[in-house]
Amino acid sequence: MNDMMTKLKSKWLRFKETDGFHTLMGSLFAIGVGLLIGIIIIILVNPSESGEGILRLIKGFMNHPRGAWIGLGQLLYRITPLIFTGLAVAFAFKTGLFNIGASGQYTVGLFAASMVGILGDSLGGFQWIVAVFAGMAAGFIWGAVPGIFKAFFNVHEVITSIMFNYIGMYLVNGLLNSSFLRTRVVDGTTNRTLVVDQAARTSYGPFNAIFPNSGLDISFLIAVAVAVILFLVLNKTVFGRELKSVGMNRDAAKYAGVNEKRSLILSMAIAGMIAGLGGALFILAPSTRNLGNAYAIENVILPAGFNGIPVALLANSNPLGVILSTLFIGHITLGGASMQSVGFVSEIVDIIIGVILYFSAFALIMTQYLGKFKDYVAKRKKDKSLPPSTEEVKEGKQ
Amino acid sequence: MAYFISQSLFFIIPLLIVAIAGMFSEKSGTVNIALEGLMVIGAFCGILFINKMQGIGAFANSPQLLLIFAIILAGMGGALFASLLGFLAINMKADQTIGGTALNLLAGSLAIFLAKQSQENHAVQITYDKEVFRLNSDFLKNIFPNINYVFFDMAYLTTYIGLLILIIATIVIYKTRFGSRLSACGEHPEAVQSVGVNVYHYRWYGVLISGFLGGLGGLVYALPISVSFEGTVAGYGFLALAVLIFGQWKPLRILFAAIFFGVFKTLSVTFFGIGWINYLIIEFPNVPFGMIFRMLPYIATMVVLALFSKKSRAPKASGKPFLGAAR
Repeated sequence: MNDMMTKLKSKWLRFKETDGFHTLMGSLFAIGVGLLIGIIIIILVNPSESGEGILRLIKGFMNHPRGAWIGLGQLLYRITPLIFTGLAVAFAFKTGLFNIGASGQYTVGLFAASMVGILGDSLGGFQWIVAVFAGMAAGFIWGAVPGIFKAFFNVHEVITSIMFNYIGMYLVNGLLNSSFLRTRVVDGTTNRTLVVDQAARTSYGPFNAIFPNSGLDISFLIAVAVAVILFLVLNKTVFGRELKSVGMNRDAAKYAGVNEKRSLILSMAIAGMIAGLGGALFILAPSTRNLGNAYAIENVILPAGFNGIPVALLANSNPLGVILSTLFIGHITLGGASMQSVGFVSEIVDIIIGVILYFSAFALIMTQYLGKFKDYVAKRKKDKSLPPSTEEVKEGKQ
Repeated sequence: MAYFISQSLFFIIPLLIVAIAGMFSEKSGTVNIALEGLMVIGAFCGILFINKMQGIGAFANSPQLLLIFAIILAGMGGALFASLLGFLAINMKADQTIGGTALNLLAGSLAIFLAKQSQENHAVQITYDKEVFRLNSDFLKNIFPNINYVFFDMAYLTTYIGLLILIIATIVIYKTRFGSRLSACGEHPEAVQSVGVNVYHYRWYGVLISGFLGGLGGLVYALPISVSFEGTVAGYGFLALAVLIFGQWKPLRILFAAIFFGVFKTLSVTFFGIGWINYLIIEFPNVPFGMIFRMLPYIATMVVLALFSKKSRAPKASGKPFLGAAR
């Protein structure tokens, strides 16, 4: 028993020194500041209702009228697309690329999947899986483009990604408005795509039994699986190391024998594939809650991709962390929605998320400072008790 | 043609101003991905001011003066907001991408939140009357009616402010000691430090100028295209970022990039009114011209970039926190 305690303690002590721990502490600090500012805003806006407002904000998914359990199911259902776009941004970040184009990749993935889902009746039982792969392929191609432009033409991935967000959106809308598709896949009165065939829908899996009528389907499990796979690829495989090495220093990676152009393109393409998968699973969802299964033909870039950026950054681009940060953001977003019925505008939650992200940017630095300060204090104590060693004297002179 | 040019100015001028805003920040060494947020804050401050003043009937006889005050206010709002980025990037030496993204998020939500709080019916839209700001002048009307239409009748004061900013920015960057020191801070801060110039100060100047121009550009963008502001500038800050990179961080190239993009963008919204294109549309009914013209500004930009980007001239130390004396 005592053995186990010491073992646990040494494990804890080792964990305390890791970057992961510092990130976690930094994130918790940032979340604390963000919530504090949110609470102050709530009190300033309407002191008399502030108690109820704060309670609803903190309760998040537990505000659901059918109870906390169904609320949890709904939370998981709502955040699933965000996990995918968050992962698409995070994976690219880990390999040194800023994927601001998740929106475009998500949109083309969604489009490709819904086309198979509506027009691919002859596929029978394979319809949904083909639709999923179509979405992944479309996202893969859309993600590869910024990689190709960077590898061969030296064009920054940020600019290509932004341009291809627009190109993807206009392409999809243009195709949907073409004479061939307009009559077959678009509902003229609502200007939305039709809902996909029954055979193309993904399965509820075990979730309809666990969270009845919450809308949650197997997409969530796929999202978690993708996060785990990405974590393993990045940290445990040669391939992942190669991708990361190109991100850190392209020339050095090239010198070390990595095909740096191929790695660059693959990094972006994989990121695009994940976003495309997210779009596909969103449109193929079996539940039609929140008009999930239809795409509205408007000349607006879907926000899903941009929302993935704060999610990824808050998690310090760790794929497993993305799940946690998405859960948190989803939770307080539901809290914000519930706050509206007592007269608080839901944008307070967006302000909180912005503040959290802002402080998380230097929370990392702060924890490092704190670490340095502790070292300094420890050193001072040591200096007092012991005469300085020769090495330290040398250091001091420099 | 005159209509086309007059419309294209509504795209070109804000892109120009905001890309130059980004240039000042990046040349001094701070990547400014928060241009979108700066635009939102600037547009919000300026338009809320116009809304309130028009509401109480102030400046009714001198709309241009009202516009100038609104522009200054928009710039100051932007600069104040940018100081959040400056503190994070320069003093705290934190990740500038995270900081910029946080500011973009904050700006959008703050603008909507404040709009809802400051208006009686909790409306998101802040309405204003833009017609009073049109120059509506008869200058040169008899001799050059087209020039009158573009630059004096349909134009806003903001067009000239944009051009003025371009000229001043070019002179400042290339012809003044301040400009060369600023640029040096983004290229080789250690060298700047070694000759006794405070890198932190110059990076702060860069960020604050960037904030002022970004906020101002937000108002310039939002004012003429609508009759109400709803807390968004529709991705224009990101397009300005693209124009900045397209323009290789050089003022005159940025002007060229903004014109290039702006002309194609205008074409994409006015193409059906142009004679020969209309003829093509009727002649080839199966070609999806609408889609092609909407995608054209973005595709054309990518083609040009692919051809001319082999040698990129990004400031070398941009995005890297300055850690102090040379080591």
